[in-house]
Amino acid sequence: MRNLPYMISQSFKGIRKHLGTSLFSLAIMVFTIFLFDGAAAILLNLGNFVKEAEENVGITVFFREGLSEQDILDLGNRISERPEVRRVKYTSAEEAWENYKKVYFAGNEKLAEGFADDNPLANSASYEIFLEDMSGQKMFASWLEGQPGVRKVNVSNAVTGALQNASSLVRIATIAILTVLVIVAVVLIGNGVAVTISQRQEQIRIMRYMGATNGFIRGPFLIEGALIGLLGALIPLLATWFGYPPVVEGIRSRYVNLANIFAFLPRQKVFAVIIPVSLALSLGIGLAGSAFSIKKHLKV
Amino acid sequence: MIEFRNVEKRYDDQTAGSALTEFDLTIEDGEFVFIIGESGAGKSTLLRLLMGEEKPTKGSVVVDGVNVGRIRPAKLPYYRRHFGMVYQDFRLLKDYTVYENVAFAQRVVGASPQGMKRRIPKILEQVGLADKADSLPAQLSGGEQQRAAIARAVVNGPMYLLADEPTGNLDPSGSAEVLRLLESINRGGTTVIVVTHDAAVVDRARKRVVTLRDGRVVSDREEGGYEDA
Repeated sequence: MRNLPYMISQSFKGIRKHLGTSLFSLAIMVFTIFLFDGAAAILLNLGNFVKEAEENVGITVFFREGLSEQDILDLGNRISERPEVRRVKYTSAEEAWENYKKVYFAGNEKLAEGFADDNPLANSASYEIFLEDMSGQKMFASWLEGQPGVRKVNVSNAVTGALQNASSLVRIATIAILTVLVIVAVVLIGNGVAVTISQRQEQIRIMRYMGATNGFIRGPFLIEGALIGLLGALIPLLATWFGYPPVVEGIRSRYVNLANIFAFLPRQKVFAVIIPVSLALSLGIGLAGSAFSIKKHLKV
Repeated sequence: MIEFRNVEKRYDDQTAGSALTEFDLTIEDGEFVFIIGESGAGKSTLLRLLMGEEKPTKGSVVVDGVNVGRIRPAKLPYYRRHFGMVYQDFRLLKDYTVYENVAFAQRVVGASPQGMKRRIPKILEQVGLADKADSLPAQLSGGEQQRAAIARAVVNGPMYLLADEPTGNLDPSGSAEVLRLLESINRGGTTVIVVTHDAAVVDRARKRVVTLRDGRVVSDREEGGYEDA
């Protein structure tokens, strides 16, 4: 620990001595971590959308005409008893009409009054069912369809399905691109460290004769890689930190409908994940690059 | 104490070094010994075995009761701290000042900053370079560079000082300075081993002279001279 300031100063010297290689490594690092941060922000939001969708979009069951109140109540109880059901909400025909009016006659309430005594949704009493987990939705729907008194089952699979598809597409693309970039970054940082090692062969030989431990000899090279790694994370983290709010605002204003359905994650929530993972990733890349180079070029 | 006990060292690759055969040599603590011999006699091999850089093919090198060939790689750095090394080409770090070069040796062994501040000026005083502490090696004469290298070699207080052709690149006055310095370090209790071709230095010093030829000790005299061999 006593030698840490010395090792750090040695690392900076190394970086400066082959500035071209260092800057190139740094650029690739910045690009890699920036991509990671961007993808992570998108994935976290998509995940949040899916979760929200699961919470807000349920299965709707409509009843056969003339089903008695007791039958409807029994059906409700049978549904509630299912383990996969989180919540069941009854909507009467009157409530359905009220809701419909609110949405489709907004600002023109007078027009709706024409239907006042003749509810167009008279047969639209329903149960809205929210499941614990969306994945069981299909099976549950077919069970529902088999129940007596059920006229129609509406499953809102489309939205969440699309979200999940988008999410996995982004994830796969990110992993593929990141894998390539991480390898490139490791190799480049390793190259930079190899240059430093070759420039210091003489010094290393002298140090060995003086009784320098392997840790003391390797330290500056490991720190050199770690420094480039961490610096490469800092720049994209700052960029994403300041870039996130305007981007979210931009999406919100362009896709008003989307913004009404889904809430974007607040910046703090996204960065609570992105910061530690970016730093760990970049540190890992830096250390891995150095370690490979040390193993290859530094004979002990 | 340093003991070479019936050491044999063979190299598969002839260019890697000269062989030693049935090599026996004992150096007591506090001695001043010249090792002389033609190139290819095995002098460098002897130093490499002593520093644990090479292992003997047969026999053993024992330093203070420790078999050098058996030291684990992780322990080797600590073993080497018993030695100070001085080279013909000085091997000072070019972009470090004299002070920094000496400090470097202290740093390698994890010396405290306070200890360094105390010790380094004292050593530089001892080698007569107190006023050159801030000079770069290129600004010094050969003799001064070698004295800086000696300061670096002894700053950690080694038991043994190994000097490989320390006067090989120096003019007579530089050589004389270096010899005087080595003698004074020896008087302080450090065992000094000098590998050399420099007949003048050996003749002037009148110390123990061990002569190697073809990987064997062919003569070993107290207060010897170069030509006696």
